[in-house]
Amino acid sequence: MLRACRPAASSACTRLSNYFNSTDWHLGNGIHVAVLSVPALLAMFAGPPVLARELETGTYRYAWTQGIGRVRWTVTKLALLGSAIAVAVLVITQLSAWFLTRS
Amino acid sequence: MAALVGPNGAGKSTLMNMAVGITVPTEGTVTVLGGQPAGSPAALGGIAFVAQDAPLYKNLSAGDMLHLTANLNRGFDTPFARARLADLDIPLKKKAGKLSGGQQSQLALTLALARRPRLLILDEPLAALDPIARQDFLAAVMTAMADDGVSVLLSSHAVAELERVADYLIVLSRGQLQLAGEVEDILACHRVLTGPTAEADEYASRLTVVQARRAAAQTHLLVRTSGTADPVPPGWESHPVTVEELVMAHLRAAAPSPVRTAERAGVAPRPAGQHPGRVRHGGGGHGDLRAEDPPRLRGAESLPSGGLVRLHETE
Repeated sequence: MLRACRPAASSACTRLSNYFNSTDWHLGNGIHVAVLSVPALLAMFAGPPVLARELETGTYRYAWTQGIGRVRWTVTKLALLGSAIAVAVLVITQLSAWFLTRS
Repeated sequence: MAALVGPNGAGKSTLMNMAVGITVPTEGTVTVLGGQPAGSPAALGGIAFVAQDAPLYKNLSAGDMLHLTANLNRGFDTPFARARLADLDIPLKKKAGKLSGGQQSQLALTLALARRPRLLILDEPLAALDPIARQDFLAAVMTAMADDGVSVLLSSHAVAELERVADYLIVLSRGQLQLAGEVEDILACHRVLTGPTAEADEYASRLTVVQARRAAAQTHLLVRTSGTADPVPPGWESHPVTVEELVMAHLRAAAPSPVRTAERAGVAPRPAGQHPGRVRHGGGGHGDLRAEDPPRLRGAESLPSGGLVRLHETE
């Protein structure tokens, strides 16, 4: 019924769509929340060890005294990790968008 | 090679960490390699640092550590590093954490040497090693000094082992410089005088005594001399001093309690009968060996090889 509603931008269709989302489409809501929280969760688990592990094991004394310098070391590490997370999030959002919009 | 010696907590590691920019001094600045600020990219490019306990990524193999270090440095000599690890029988596939303590130290030294540094800073590299591994390690450092002209700053408790290898000696205690100078010069201007205890006080009052050890009959006075052979009164004998005696005497003189220093320096306290009585020397006793009386790591201090590490006072 929702899919057949024309014109799709009309206020009646929007109302219908909102009603549908609020009552029947729990799976869609769940995916929505999951997709929104994934980047934050990934960052929470992947971010802190970047520096904390170095400090805990003492290897910062190795890493930060190499010729590359600690600024470049940190920036490179964060950039690599950041892009890995970004790619992962992109894949997840594309998959969920495909899942939600498939016919 | 400059040797940095002192008891635990003297500030050796702190000084070294400041020289590589891991620790920032609360006062003053540290420059290295003839004027570069410590920790700057230019300085880090010319300095290889092996920290205390030789930190390595324990879950990386020796080969991976080599690859990583090669990527983190310009001009890393991979063939040299591989050849050296092969000579040492360190398998490239074995994880760094599974190597023995001596092998980990050697791996860390190899990674440092293959960077072809101008200055090599080694923080307590001998502490975890058995006597044979110590000799091998020092031999490797000496070879690098001879072959590549690397300057070395090495901290250690093992004073006796440094005697043969160090050219320059720096004695730190509780953040203060006790003694610094060329080993030869320092040895030349200290003597041990042995003579009857009855005359010791009178004789000592005319000398700069670093340490006096009194027994019932004989007293050993470790004194600073002007360098020329001072005449010795009859009944007294004059001997040259060893680096170890000298360092111990200076550390005892600097410590609040002589016995505590001995324990901290890893040396058993003397038997009670030989308990060292101390004679305090007057102000300026160390005169020309100390740049000045620097409160905790301040003051100017220059190391050999053109002053590669220098501490400045900002004031």
